[in-house]
Formats: sequence, structure tokens, C-alpha cells
Amino acid sequence: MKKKKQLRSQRSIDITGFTFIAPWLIGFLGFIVGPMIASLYFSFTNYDLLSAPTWIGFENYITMFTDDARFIQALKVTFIFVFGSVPLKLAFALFVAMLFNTKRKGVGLYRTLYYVPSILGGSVAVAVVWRELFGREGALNDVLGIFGIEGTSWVTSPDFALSTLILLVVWQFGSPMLIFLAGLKAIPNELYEAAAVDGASPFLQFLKITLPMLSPVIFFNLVMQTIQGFMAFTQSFLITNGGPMDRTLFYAVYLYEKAFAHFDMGYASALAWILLLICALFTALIFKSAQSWVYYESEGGR
Amino acid sequence: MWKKRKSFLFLLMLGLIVIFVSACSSEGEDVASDSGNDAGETENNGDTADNGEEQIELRILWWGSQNRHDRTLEVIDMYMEENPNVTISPEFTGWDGYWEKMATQAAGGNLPDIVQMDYAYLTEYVGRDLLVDLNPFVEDGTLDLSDVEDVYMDGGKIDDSLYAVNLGANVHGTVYDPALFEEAGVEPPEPGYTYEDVQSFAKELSDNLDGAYGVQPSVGTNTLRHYLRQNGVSLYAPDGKSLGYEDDQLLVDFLQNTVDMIESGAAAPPDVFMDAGSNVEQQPIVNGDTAMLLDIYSNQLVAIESAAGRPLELMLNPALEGGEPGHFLKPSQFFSVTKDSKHQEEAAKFISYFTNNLEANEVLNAERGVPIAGAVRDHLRDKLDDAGKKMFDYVEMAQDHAKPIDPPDPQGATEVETLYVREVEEPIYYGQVTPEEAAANFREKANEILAKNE
Repeated sequence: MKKKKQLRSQRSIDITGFTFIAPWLIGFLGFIVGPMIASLYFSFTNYDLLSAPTWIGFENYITMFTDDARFIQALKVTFIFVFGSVPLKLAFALFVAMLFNTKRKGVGLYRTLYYVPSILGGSVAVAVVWRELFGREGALNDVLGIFGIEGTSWVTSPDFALSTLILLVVWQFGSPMLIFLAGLKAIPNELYEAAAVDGASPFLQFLKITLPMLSPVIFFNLVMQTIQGFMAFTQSFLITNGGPMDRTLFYAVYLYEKAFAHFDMGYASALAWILLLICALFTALIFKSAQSWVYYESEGGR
Repeated sequence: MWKKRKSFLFLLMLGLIVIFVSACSSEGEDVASDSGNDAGETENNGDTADNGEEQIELRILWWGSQNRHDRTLEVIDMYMEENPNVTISPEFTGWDGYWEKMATQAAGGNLPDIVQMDYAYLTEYVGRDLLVDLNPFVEDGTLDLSDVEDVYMDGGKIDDSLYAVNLGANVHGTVYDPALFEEAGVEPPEPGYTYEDVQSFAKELSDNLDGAYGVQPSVGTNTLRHYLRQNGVSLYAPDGKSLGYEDDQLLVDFLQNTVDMIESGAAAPPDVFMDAGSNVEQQPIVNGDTAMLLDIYSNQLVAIESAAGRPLELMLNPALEGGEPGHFLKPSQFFSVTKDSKHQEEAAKFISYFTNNLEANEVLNAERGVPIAGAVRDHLRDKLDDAGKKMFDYVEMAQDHAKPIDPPDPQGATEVETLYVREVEEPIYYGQVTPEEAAANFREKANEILAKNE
């Protein structure tokens, strides 16, 4: 008798719990899981968005790797972009975070100001500003002109377009900076005091205290930024539209073009799943490597 | 007590879920009944006509320059004033991104009632059954085209069904800045000037002008089509399964011409003009950075001249010695009514107003090309500003150098265009491929795409 009652109450607790997360659950199932399953199905079909899909098995995936030079180009561009922008962005974010990790007056205001670029980051307005800054008659060329250097149109130059986009992303260092800042604040001051007493230089302190103590935060930022980097879309789409000559053809831009400009939704779905696998693979690699460089205090120094 | 409250909460949540889910499913029903509407179109339209006082909302989508946005918005306001029961909500963008926007809405079954359509995309949209045949509305007089000659309507017809109403006639051409020609002491081009002439006067312009180039070159598809037509072939084969020309040397010669001009300094290098993209108002000729632009449609003169703020002149494309005439009368753009529209008759009524109303066309000022209705043309001719007059005269003159238009592009043409831009046009500007490589590569990949057409 008593047991039965317990069971019932357990069930009703479950129901209450599920009821409370229902709004999220429905959203998750309807807007994330559902479309994912649909796109997995579409990736095995020839689907032009408007007429019914026809099943073609693995053909999309085979074409991708054997007969699509633009897919390879998109991969190449995306890898350069990720490996170029992520380390630079993290280094810059850490640098700025350390500048702000003081108790000087007005530092709160600066923290807010420096966070603004990453809020604006994906927006159309910034893309327009970037074009104006790095265009042929942009502000950058005006500055260079003072020194007698003749600039080019940076955003449309095949040699510099991608670097311009990397620069934009590095400039949007706000959110990793905030996380670094929180991490820096959590490092106990005694460690630095002890090191200073022992005569360690600031550089040595950074190397031996800050970096190891911050490694879980670096790890987190690295994972998040890498995934974000692979999925980057707005910068290329709005500023260079993948051009010139596919030099800034981000993976996501290519995917979008296939889906909505060429009506090849099946192929685009297949591209999306390959992107998911790539993201998963790199995240796994980072996790695997973490054992050798991430330091958790709670695990007793291992 | 506590238990009661809990079960009340539970019921409340359940209720919310039910509302949420049913909202979703009723959305689904809407979609289903929409497709039902398509079948019973005519009945449905009868209904809307009966209760004309009912508030009707139309959505309309177009691409264009700021100049066009302002004019079109004004006409929409005029129409709403005359028809208080109709509310029109406009959506507009530039050419870049327009077709992506359309495709997304098409996939969602959410296309605006009226969309601006381009000749290059017409087959693609008709082939996917997204546009409405307007002939019934022409027959019952809702869409009044009695004042329009066939030559202006034919571009919008596929298999005798009228899917799109031409908004203006256009001819491809070039535009030059007479002041810069005079400054350089170079005679402006006259009809009949050749590709060789361009080479020489462009070089002279570049040499004589301080800080400006002779021409902004173009190896885009518009100029390519023209060149191919001059050679008696077209870009796509009539069956749409392959390219329309056999000899790669044609494309090689065409590209080489531009490569030579960029190398000699006659033409502006790409970093001067790539910034502007397809945005007419930012082309370097507007700032006086080049004296001539080799790729423009006649209707764009209105926008480009107003952006430049000084007179510019339209001129024919260069002639090919011993070649055929390459020009053609092109529908600049169309209005089409989409299958997703619930008020197709009202949409047709608006298009009729847009085509025939004299005051509306005074506001529109032929910015979309020479109007197709005879009365409107006659009415406008005296009232036009200089840019409009030049455009009318140019379209008239170009008719003497024209032959009939090529059939609409086959399906897959948009993909071929992307291929051409990425692997022929841009690399040629930047000197990254030779014309021979580009031509061979283009043939191979374009034919592969077109071969998918059954």
C-alpha cells in the first residue's frame, strides 16, 4: 500500500516536471529535432524545395567528395578561416581581459564598450561599415594615403578579402573576453603574492599561474569559438558574398547558395550533415587533447 | 489543498500545450486548404469580387534602386487612396539577395501576391508551378492589356499562357560620360563603332584623363549574350540541354578583348569596379572614375544619371565587323501573380492600374523601362525629363539594330550563371586564368549542369 502511493507520487512528480519544461521540450522537438530528422532524410534525396523529393541514396555525398570542386574550395576557405581567426581572437580576448582585470576607476564602462562589437557583430550594419572601412574609397585607404601608400579595395581583392573577414571576427572578441574575465577573477590572489615573494617576473607568473589556472576557460572558449567559426555565415554573405572567385566561400554560404539560389535542397542537407560531422570531429579532438593541457583544481592537480 | 492547487497548475499547463499544439495544426490545415484553393481558383475569385468592400491585403515584392523604391511606394499610396478597401504592404530589396528571398518564401508557401519577375527566372518559376496564368483576367477585363502590342507581351508568355506582365521595354547597351570624352579630346562613339574602336579610344581616354580610366570592362553574361548573338548563336541551346555555341574560340575571343584592355590600361582594373557589385548607383562612372560603362540596360539610365547628377549618354553595344545585329527588345522586368495569393483578381487589378494609369506612370517616370501601353507612352513622351527622353530615343534607335529575343533561359540557368561569374568572369578580371582555360572549363561544367534537364 505504501509502496503504491510512493509510485504514484513519483509518477506525478515526473508529470509535473515534464509539464514545466514542456514549452522548451515542444520547441526542441518541433524546431530542432524535427527539422534535423527531415534534413537527414532530404540529404538522401533530390529535392528542389518545391516539388516532392525523390530518393537517390548516397549520391549527394558521393558527388560532394568526388565531383565538386567548390565543396573542396569551401572546406579550404573555412579551415583557413577557423584556424586563422580562432587563435587570434582568443589571444586578443585574453589580452583585453587581462587589461580589464584591475580595479581602476571606470573599468566597468570600458568592459561594456568593448563588448558592443560582438553584439553588433552579425548585423547588417557592421557589414556595411566594414565595406566602407575596407572598400576602395574606405577609411583605411585614406589613412594609408597619408603615408603615401596606395591601397586597394580590400574586401574585393582575391588576396586580402579573407583576411579582412578574419579581422572582423577577431574584432568581435567580446563574449570570450567576458568569459576570460570571469576566469581571471576566480584565480586566487595568494598564488600571485606567493610567486611575487619568490621573485617570479610578471611574464613567468602569467605562464605558470594564469595560463594553467585559466585552462578550463580557454578550453571552453576554444570549443565554442571553433564551432562558431565553422558555422560562420553572415560575414562572408553580407560583405563579400563568397567572392571574389570563391576566395571567401564559407561552408555555410555555399550551403545556403545550393539551397536557396540553385534550389538544390537535398544536396544542401547533405552538406549540412557533413558540416555537423566536421564540427563533431573537431570538438572530439579538442576534448581528447584536453586531458594533456587542461588543469582542474578539483581533480587534485591532474 | 496543496494537491488541488497542483492539479490546477497541471491542468493549466495542459491547456497551454493544447492551445500551442492546436495552433500548430491549424497552421497545417491552412496550408492544406491553400493548395485546395489552387484547384478551385476561379470560384474563389468570384467570391472576393462579390464582397468588394471586404478589407483586402496585398503583398508586393520588387527589387531595384532607391529611385525605384521611392517611385513605386508613391504609386502604391495613390492606389490605396483610390481603393480604400485595399491595403498593400510593400517589400523591396536590391537585386542582390532578391532571388534567395523569393525562394525562401516560395518554399514556405508564403509568396507575396505580386512579385517582380525577371526574364532569366521566368521558366524556373513557371516550371515549378508557382505563377498564375493571367489570361482569364485579361479575358474578363480585370487586367486591361488592350492598348499593348504583342511584341511587348511575348516575353511573358510560355506556351501561350501569360505568366508575367512586362513593366517596361529595355535594350542592353553602354553608357558614357560626354564631359570626360570632351576633357580627353576623344570623339564619343557613334552607332556602328566596333570592338576594335573601343580598344583604341579607351586607351586614349585613359592616357589623356587624370585619375580616370577609359572604360569599365564587362565580360558578364549580358555582354556575352550580345556577342554570341552577333555571331549568330546564343548562350543556351534551344532544348536547354547544353550551351548554344559549338566553338570555344568565340568565348576565347570575347574574353581576350577584355584581357587586352585591362593589360593595356584602357580598362579599369577590377578593384575599381568590383566594390559596386550590381548596384547601379555605385558604378565608378557615377564618380567619374571611368568614362564609359559597357554593361547597362537602358532603363537603368534613369537611376545612374540621377546618382551621378550630370548628363550621361546611352549608346549601342559595339558592333562586330561582318556580324549580325545583337540587340533585342527585352522585357525589363515583369509583375507576376503567385499561386500563394488569395486575392489573385485584386492583384491583377493592381497590375492593370500600374500598366495603364497615366498619373501613376507619371510618377513611375518609365524608370522600369519604356512603358508597354501605347497611351502611356504617348502621354509620357512630352513630360519626360532628359534621362527618360534619352531612354525612349535609345530604345527606338536600337530597334534598327535588333533581332528577336532568345527563348527564356532553361532550368539550371541560375547555376550556370553562378559558375560563369565565379570561374570565368571574376578570374578573367583578376588575370587568374587564360581565356582558353576559362572557356574550356566553362563548357565542361555548364554542359554538366544543363545535361540534367530532361
